Amino acid sequence: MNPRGLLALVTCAIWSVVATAYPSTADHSAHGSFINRNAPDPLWQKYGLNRSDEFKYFHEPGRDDTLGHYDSRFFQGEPVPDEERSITLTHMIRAYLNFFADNGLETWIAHGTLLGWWWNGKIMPWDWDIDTQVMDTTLLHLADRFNQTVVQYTTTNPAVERRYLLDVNPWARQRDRGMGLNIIDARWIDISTGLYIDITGLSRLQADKPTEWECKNGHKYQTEDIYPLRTSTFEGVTAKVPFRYDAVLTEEYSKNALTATQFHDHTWDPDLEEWVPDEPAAKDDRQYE
Amino acid sequence: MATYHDTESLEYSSDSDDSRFSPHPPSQRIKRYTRPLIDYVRNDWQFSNKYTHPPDEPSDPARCMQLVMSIVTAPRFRRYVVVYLMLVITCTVGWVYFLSPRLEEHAELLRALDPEVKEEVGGWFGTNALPNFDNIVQLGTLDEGLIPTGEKRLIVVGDVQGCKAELDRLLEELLFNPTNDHLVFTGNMISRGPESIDVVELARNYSASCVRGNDEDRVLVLRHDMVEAQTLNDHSTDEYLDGQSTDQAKRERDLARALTDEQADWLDACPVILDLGQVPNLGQVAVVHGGLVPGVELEKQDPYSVMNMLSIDLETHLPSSERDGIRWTKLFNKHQSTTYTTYSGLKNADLEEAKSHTTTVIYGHDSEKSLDITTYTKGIDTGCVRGGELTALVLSENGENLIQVRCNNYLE
Repeated sequence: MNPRGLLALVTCAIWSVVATAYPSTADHSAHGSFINRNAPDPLWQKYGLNRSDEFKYFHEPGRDDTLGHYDSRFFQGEPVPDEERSITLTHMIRAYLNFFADNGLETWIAHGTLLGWWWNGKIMPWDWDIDTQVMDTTLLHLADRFNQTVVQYTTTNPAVERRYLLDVNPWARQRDRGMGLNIIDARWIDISTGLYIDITGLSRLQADKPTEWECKNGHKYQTEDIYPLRTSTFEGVTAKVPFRYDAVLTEEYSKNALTATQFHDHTWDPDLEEWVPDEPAAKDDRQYE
Repeated sequence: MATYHDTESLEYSSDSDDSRFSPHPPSQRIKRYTRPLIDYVRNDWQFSNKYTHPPDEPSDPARCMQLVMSIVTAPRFRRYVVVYLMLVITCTVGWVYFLSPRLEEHAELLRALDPEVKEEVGGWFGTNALPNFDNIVQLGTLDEGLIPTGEKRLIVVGDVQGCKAELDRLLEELLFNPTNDHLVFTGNMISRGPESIDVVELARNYSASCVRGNDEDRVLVLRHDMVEAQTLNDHSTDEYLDGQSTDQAKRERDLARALTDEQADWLDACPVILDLGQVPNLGQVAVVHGGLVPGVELEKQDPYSVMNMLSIDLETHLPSSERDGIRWTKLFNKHQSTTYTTYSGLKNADLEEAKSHTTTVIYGHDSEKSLDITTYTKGIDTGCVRGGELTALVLSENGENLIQVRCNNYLE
């Protein structure tokens, strides 16, 4: 291939990545604006969603701590064993963070996942799901351009091959809580097991509070709590975290979340920098290290 | 002659209202009474007011009152009452408002540092593995050659916030000499004031040391995000972002754009904590912007807290950027003085050596509290940008001293 042609192709590729990555101002003005409640409802007009007939989009095989963290459509009938679950979650968040970074999509880790990051940059062993957040501009961009994307994930280890589905809830376009059936705006689902990452979007719903962002589950943040996002590492890959991470965590989980060294039958080992299970078997493991 | 005199004195000592004895000079009376004295005795005296039995009324309350009143109205007594009352009030006020809170605080601080309590509350802040951040340097150390000995001085300057004119005057006041003097900034050199870029240039020219303040942190993290999103030169998203930001955030974006790459890199290299090492007479000295959590190694201090802390939770040692708890300096001082006592109390203790086990913190950030110099914490943000002073803490071989200049108010 002649070099000029190659250059043109590369330039074109870069341009397209940039174009996807940074939505134009027009996109911003369409998505980021406040809701005008008197205007004809675009949910109905454009997407055929009837507010008064909201239905639950994401389903789980059960409601307890185990079954509540699988997506019904991909659940294999039996929960996966602990060890596999942990590996699945790790690959899942790496794939997610890489995909978002590669496509110039802004996201950051939140809730229990952020707490895990604070302690040692890892998922906490007792945590069943992973939580991330995006701004509503990104969320609607995902809905418009990336919905139903299946992402192939491989590592240097040929045995590890996974596929993930990015599934945006149609009710993500309704930015208020509605009937409360669709708190989760989107999911990043491990197709082989049904385990998933919960993606929630933050919106500004009150015109008189232009710096206040909230998710559908009632968590509120100020622009300064989140922005500018800090760049850190989670499970070995680059991840963004809210600017005021300490304040966000203590606000949500109380002061003890950052100080108590015993949680859910695990004890924090400051030398190993790991949460160690309290079972005697686990203590034996430690002695051999 | 002697007997006359005695009689005379007896006469005068008796009550003068005894009318039966005329106040004649005794010499005359004795001349008149020529018969034996017994012949003159009468019983009239029994009816005299003076010798009749007093009526049974002294227990009467009115009489008591009178008695009390007479005591109370006595000038000496009143004076004592006033004095004692003042004393009691002073003691009470002193106890209630000064001594008792001090003792309570002392006990609380000691309890807060008690390792047994740590077990009780389930752990103290600072045991986590430190999160790592791109482009943030956790710890820097000062070149040993810059430690103040002989002519050499270390000049630690509080929050400048872009007040270049004041910084220039301060250096004049200090008779700053770049060959012997080394400048250290406690962070927040930039933002809010008029000439942030020039302050950075001055600091770079003098190869000054610095720590990362909360304002540098925001501007620098923002700048990295802008570089990543390619909005450093592209203003097209500004309007949208302005709608969700405070005015301060807009100014920070302008500042992020105004910094050159070299200036931003220089600021990025300012560590969160600068370890000055062992300074004569002070032991180990660290410079930070906000503060330190006592008992946590410098490497493991949470960077956000170090840049932002004002208060600390006594139970969990969790620092806060709000003013709701006790000031972090109190717990820090108590921890250091306990450490010092432990080492200086040893047999054959060398006080210099004991001091070397302690850490003194020089910090800025708290312009509301303003100048706050204690044994182990030296707060030198005196609110220059809002019309306070710009303060320098000068460390030299002979000890420490403070130099200040007045500032214009740039926030009005």
